[in-house]
Amino acid sequence: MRLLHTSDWHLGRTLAQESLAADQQHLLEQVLRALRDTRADALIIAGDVFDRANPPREAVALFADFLRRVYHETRAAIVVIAGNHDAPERVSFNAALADPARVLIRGPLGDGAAPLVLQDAHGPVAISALPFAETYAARAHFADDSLVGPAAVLASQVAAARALVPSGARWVVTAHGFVAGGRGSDGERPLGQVGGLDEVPATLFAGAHYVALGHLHRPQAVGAAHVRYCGSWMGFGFDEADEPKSLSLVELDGTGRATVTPVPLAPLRPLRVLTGTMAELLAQGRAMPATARQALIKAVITDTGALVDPMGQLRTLFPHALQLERAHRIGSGAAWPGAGGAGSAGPPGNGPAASPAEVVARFIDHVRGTAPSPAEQAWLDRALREAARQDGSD
Amino acid sequence: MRPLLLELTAFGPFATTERIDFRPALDARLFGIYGPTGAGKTSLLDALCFALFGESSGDERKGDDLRAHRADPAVYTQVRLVFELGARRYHVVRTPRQRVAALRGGGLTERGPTAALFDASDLPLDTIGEASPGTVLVERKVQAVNDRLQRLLGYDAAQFRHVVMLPQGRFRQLLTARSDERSSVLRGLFDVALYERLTQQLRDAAADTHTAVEAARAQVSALLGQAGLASAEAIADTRAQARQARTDAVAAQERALAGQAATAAAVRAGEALRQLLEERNAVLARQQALDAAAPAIAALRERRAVALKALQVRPAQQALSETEALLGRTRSSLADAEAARQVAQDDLLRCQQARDEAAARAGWIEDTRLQIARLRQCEQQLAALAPLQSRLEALERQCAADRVALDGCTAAAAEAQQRARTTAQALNEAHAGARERAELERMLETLRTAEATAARRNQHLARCTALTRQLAAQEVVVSDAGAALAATRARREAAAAAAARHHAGQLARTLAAGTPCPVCGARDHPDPARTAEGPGGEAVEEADAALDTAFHALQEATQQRADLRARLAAEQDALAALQPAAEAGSGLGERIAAAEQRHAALGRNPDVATATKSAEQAAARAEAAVAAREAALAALQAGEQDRAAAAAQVAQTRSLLPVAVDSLDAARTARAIAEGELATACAAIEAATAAFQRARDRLGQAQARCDTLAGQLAEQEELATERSRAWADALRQAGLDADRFAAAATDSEDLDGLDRQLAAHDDEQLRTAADRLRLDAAVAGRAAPDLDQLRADDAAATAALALAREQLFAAASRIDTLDRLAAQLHTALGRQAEAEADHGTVGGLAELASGRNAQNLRLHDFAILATFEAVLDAANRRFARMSRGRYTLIRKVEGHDNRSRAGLGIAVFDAFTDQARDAHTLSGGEGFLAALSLALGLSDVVQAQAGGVRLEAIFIDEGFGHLDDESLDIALETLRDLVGTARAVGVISHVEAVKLQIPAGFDVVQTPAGSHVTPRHG
Repeated sequence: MRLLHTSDWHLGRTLAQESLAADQQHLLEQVLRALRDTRADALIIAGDVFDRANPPREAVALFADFLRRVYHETRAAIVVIAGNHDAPERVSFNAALADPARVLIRGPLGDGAAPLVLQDAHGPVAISALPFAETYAARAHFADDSLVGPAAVLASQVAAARALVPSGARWVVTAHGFVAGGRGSDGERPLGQVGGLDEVPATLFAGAHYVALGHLHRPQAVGAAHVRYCGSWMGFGFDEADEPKSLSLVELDGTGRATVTPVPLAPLRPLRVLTGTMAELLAQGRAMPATARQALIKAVITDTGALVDPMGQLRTLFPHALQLERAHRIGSGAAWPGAGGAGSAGPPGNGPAASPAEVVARFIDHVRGTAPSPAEQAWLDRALREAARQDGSD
Repeated sequence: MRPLLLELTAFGPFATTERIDFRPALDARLFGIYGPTGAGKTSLLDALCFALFGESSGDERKGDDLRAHRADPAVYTQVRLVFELGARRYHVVRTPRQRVAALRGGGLTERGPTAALFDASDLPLDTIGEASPGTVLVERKVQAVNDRLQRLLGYDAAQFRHVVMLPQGRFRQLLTARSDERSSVLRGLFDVALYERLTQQLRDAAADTHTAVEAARAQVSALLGQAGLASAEAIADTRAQARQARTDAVAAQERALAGQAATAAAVRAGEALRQLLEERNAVLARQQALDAAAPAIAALRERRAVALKALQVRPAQQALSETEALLGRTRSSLADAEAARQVAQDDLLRCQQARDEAAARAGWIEDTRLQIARLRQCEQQLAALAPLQSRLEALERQCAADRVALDGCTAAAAEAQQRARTTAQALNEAHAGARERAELERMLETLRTAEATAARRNQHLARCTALTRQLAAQEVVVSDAGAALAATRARREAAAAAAARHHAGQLARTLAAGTPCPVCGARDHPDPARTAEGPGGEAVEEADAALDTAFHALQEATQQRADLRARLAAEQDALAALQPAAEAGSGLGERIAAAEQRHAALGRNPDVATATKSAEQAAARAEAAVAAREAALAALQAGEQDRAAAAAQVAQTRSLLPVAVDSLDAARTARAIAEGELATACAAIEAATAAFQRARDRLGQAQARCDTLAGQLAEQEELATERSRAWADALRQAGLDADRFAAAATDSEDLDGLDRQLAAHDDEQLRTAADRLRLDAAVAGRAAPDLDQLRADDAAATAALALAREQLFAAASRIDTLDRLAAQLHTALGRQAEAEADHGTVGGLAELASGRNAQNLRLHDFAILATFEAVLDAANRRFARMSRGRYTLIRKVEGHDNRSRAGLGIAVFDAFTDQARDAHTLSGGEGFLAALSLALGLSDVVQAQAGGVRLEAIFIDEGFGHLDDESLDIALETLRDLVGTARAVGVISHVEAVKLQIPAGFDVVQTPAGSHVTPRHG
């Protein structure tokens, strides 16, 4: 049995207002090709199909067209679950009409936990699809008000699914959540919003031969080799630049042992962070082939002086320059040039915790150019104590 | 300020009471208030703001307009808020100005705003309410509550809207405010006053040090003036002069001291000589006095010799005097004894007479003794009679009681018998009444049955008559309907024929030779119909309708006739069945009335059983009463017999008594009186006898005493004569007569006094002679000294010495004064130098802090700037992330006019263009993010200042609608990550994505009866 495991497509996502539709169409073609090339028995999409609960029309159309082509152009079964970015009802609204032998799409918990059972030469393989569910929905569904947090919810889902696996069948689970030991990145939205534990232990899935996880954007195994995140199919932020993205091809033998092989994905436009002076970046750009300049660019400019329209200049070479940072200003709100060339009239800000004594000392230094003498400091301390005392006596 | 509980009543769109617990939402730290437009999301914030400040969140909605339009006029609009500030929990309740139902009469009345503030720190949240508000801090006075709250919170309503509650559509206010407006917000939130006070402290200190400098200088010049010095340096010369003056004064004093010693010695010597001269004069005077006293001393010696002789004859004179005195006393005693004897004799005579009188009563005494014996016998007989007497009295009492009992029994028996007769009579009457009543009731029932039967028959008879009449009429109707149907049918046939003709005529008009007839197909038309006029198909349809109507009318009439016949037959059957019973019906009414009248007259049914029982009981009681009376009579008669017997016995006993007395007590009393009189008489006889005896004895004694005294007197007269002779002999032998003896009596008594006078004179004579010898030797050859001159010389020398001493003291004092002055001057100069240094330091600082510096910047303005920069730093942590690093808020100097001093302008630095631009130029979404970041940054910095204003909850009313999807995601992500741990942010929104990403909070649900708030569950 061959399974192609993917997740976190975030269809409909934009990056700095730049549409990623073409990039995602490009990836969908690669997924179709992989299904054909690997003669996979099933495609598993482990949540976050869409970027938001109310996805744009183009994204829905893209996904509908993709499903139609998988069903008609390949022999693979289709298993889809809703992730925390998806609206569960919108993911599975017409799943009841689908071919029950080849298609399992799970949105809300009310769809049930029965697995899709496929056959190969060694016997049945049951695939349980466990969509991400909010705590309150899970309490209603399981009639259990003691459930708190994503971990408790997922534990209930696994227990319900396990009870429905035919005896003797090899068992594959797909779920969307945070399994303990996983490494996150900036692109993931936290799951727990009403308290409770986010993380579930890998041992929760005891008995499963493969666990196809979604949510974390880095491909990784957690707890055990067969409990695995395939990772997102593309980078969605510049912190994911330079990270290779892939699908996971899972081969399940007759005993249920899983062997995972990554199937690399090539982005239409890679994410690039360019660092250097303005002049260096422009020179670098001129030396690049035109196609490379189509990348999605974040520029970190190391010049410390004033620049004239840096983004405008960059965009003459890099049409998709999306972000721009000045290296020396990162993490500091101080020492900004004032408007109209007047310069910074005020003192350097040292953060919100400056004590009155520090403020006064800085003031003296600022208006006179020298720090207070010990005699002056004694007078200032005494006056400050008295001023503070007057406040207390009000 | 951490709102815990908000309770609204009849407020905004909330017609009833809503109680909102903010705690779960605050615990989630990021929460939403969701609902459709108009549901009342903003009203929750209005309520919060109203509770704290008496104003709504957008100040265009005034407190007075907050009342729910749908509210019951009897319900007051009210807002209750429980919130925490640090460790304290406060509870505020307000009602706005409102028109509500008047308490009396209909209509509305205006009610002014009210407010109350409580400290509810120790109360559990669930119990806080009307009944348990906590400790009152301020109440009734709205302004006082406002003031107190503003003091507690540290901000007013306008500042609240800038930093805690960003109102709908105005969230950019703080971002785009003018520099001075922003300055006022920052001044409100941060303790800038501290720096103002600090500046004032410095200024005050500068003024103080200036005063100190002036005081020190004044002291120095005062000290110099005191010493008469022009300068501090001149004091050394002055001190040297003073020391020289002291040395001179010491020498002068020594000289004066020696002179004064010499004059003093001369005065002492002069005074000693004068003393000796005066003593000698005194001795001479004493000698003269002694010489003058010599004759008086000789006379004194003569008197002493006579006194010695008188002393020798004195015992004889004394013995004579004693004897004469004794003689006088004895004569006086004899006279007293004679008088006493006369008195005793008179007494004896009187007693003798009394004794004789008493002896005369002996006969009466004997009679009395006899009477006493007889009375004692009577007493014994009467005592024996006593038991018999008491028995008689008991019997009399018994008889009286028996008589009363008999009277009672007699009356009771008569009454019981009367009652038995009455109840027997009543029983007879009850039996007769019951019988008559039963008979009447049976009769009435029979009569009423007969009456009902007669009435039913009459009804049936009437209905038969009516039905017969109706049937005859219906027969006419049926026959008329048959005739009408026949006529209608005829008319319909005629109409059908006419229609056929009309149709043929119509057809004939269309026919043309050679064309086939549409009816028969013939091409020849030899006889076409001619008449095409007259009624057509319509007339036939009308006739058909009339025919239907007529037919239905006939059917209906026939049916009605059949019904009438059936009903008549039924009535006749019923009548026949009642016929036999109806015969006896005449006069029934009168008979029933008579029977009912009698029945009514009989009244209520008597209770025979009760009457029987009463009669039996009464008879039994009467019998018992008669028996009781007879028993009482028998008892009385027996008692009377006993009494008579006892009375006879008593009478007999009494007739045998020796003295006629009524009772034992009377006998005893009479005897006691007789015995008393007898005893008195015997005692009087004894007393008279004894008195006579004593008087006789006393007379004997008096006579004996008279005899004794007469003997003594004779002896004493003899002794007196003898002693008188002896005295005369003694005088003659001493050479004295009686007169000289009498004259020397005093001197002989004081012989020692005469001896002492003579000895004193002799001693003085010897002492005076010795003193004269000594003094004459001492003054021999010496003249009297001139003491006045000597003393005048000594006074002059003493005055010179005093002057020299004063001059020395003055010189020493001057040196002391100058030394002290020098030390004081030294100290004062030191103080002056110190004060001048202090003034230099603190005055400089005060100048700097007051803005007199190179930058023209005041300390508190600088503090505002520093705080403002800290706020911008904190805001940029969010804004840079929300704008993907593109934008940063920076401080802008607004120009070079006066406003530049505030320096609190905000510009946005755009990394894309590397240019700063005005915050106004940000797009709606960017502006919202900037404002949001600024509010959170402000809150960060406010939170960080110790003990000041607390901003633990921030509310944002809308604004997310301005964002595109991606920006919204980033904004919410940033908000989630940077909301901070000690703070909660509440967002009001109708944006679906916000709801999904911030599930905690509240839904505001709109219903026709008003809105409601429900907590959200994910």
